[in-house]
Amino acid sequence: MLDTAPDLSPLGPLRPASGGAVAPAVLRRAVHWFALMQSGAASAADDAACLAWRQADAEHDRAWQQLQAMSLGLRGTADSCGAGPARAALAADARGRQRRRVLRAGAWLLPAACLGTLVGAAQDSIGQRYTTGAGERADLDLPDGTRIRRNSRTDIEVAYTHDLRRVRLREGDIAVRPGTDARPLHIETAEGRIEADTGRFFVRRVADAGAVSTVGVMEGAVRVVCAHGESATLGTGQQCSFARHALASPTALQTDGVAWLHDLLIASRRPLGDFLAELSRHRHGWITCDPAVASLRVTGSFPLTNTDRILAALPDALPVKVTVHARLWVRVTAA
Amino acid sequence: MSISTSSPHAGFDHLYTTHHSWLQSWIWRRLGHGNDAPDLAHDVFLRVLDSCRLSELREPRAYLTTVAHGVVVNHLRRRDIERAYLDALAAQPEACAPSAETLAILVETLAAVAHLLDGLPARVREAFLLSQLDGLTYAQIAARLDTTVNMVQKYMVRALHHCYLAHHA
Repeated sequence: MLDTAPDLSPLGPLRPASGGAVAPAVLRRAVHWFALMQSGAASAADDAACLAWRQADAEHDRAWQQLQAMSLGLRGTADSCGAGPARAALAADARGRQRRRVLRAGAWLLPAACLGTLVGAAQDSIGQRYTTGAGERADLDLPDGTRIRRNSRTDIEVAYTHDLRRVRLREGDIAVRPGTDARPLHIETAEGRIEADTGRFFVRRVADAGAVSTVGVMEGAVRVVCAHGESATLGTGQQCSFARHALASPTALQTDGVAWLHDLLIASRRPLGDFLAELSRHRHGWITCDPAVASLRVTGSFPLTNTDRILAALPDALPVKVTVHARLWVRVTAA
Repeated sequence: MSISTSSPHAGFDHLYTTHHSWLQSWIWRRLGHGNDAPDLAHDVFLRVLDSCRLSELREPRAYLTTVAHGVVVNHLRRRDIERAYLDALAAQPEACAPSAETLAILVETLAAVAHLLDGLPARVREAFLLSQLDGLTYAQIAARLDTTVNMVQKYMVRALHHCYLAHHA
């Protein structure tokens, strides 16, 4: 009594199975035989013994067919998705399980002070988390009047306690206008912190750029303290970058750091690879750049409201070809 | 606050108008970012409509959040899978990115597989997938995972058992 041939369409055998589970004792033997047949080391004698077991009882064969169908369904998945990417996606899902478990506990409903070290993500969280997606720029108005403008793919956490206002910039760009409050305001990054009570400044910390944070002051003054303790004060029109152990000397405020506030991406002889990496933060999907053209220089001021148009215009200025797959994957190669 | 109505539709309308924006904010806070909250809120109300339990609702918000929780977790799960899948695909030089429609089907398939695998320890899962997705022999898997063929055999038995029960129970 054999089932019909398995359906190899992507969702076929992974639809809810017909025919219930076999008895546990049968399942144990079926799994034993099936595992042996999958090993790549089964002998002819093994094959014969397995077949004999299957034919000994209709339930044996039913269990076998069910395992076979499941296995073929997985093979079908590999064929449609690609084995490597499928495994990577499934690994990510397994890792995400911890985060989803925290979601279940309603942890995000708790006030920031109670969150403590909840959240099973790789880095421990300090408080309420706000993340922007690709191409999304959004303002966050906090209860003390502080406004934080966030760029695309920017990830921050806010933890206000009774004596301190803390904002952690995990990734991305923010522009901050502190609200008036008795408590000090600290913007923390992996490299150190920025202390400011008034004015307007930006902070940038992008993983692609390495372990470096950049801060620039549009109005007022801020104090920058790197992780190892060295500090400096920056005034209006100044910016500086810093790593954990040192601060670079302040320079004049550069427009490309704040261009996103005006929905612009500004490049001044910027390597194409870099430029595309920055652009990809404002889009869904991926942009890959052939190393052969990654050092070509890009100059200009590009509106971020239509990143497709920026990409479409690249071949006009540079000897490159831009191929787009379903808007999700853009490949830039030599023309 | 229970809902007493003269017709099923009136009850649903009342539920929707009273709680729709509240639910949308609730969902939005859990998603972290993006514009999916309205769609997901819509999904929640559709499920509530399907379940025909309107006349019994004593705590509408508690019920809505219970349904919404499942919808949000599903959505986050698919979002993670899609992102990781596209990441891995982009790392492959010759791979062609799928169309949006195909991608949706592939993500759905991967989510179904993920459900089967739920709860398996990482190494067991990895061994199982190397066998079933990549078609490796146990000797090859043992080398890859720096373990013995015997352990791989044990992993496979455990994984097959686990997935069978997830699929058929």
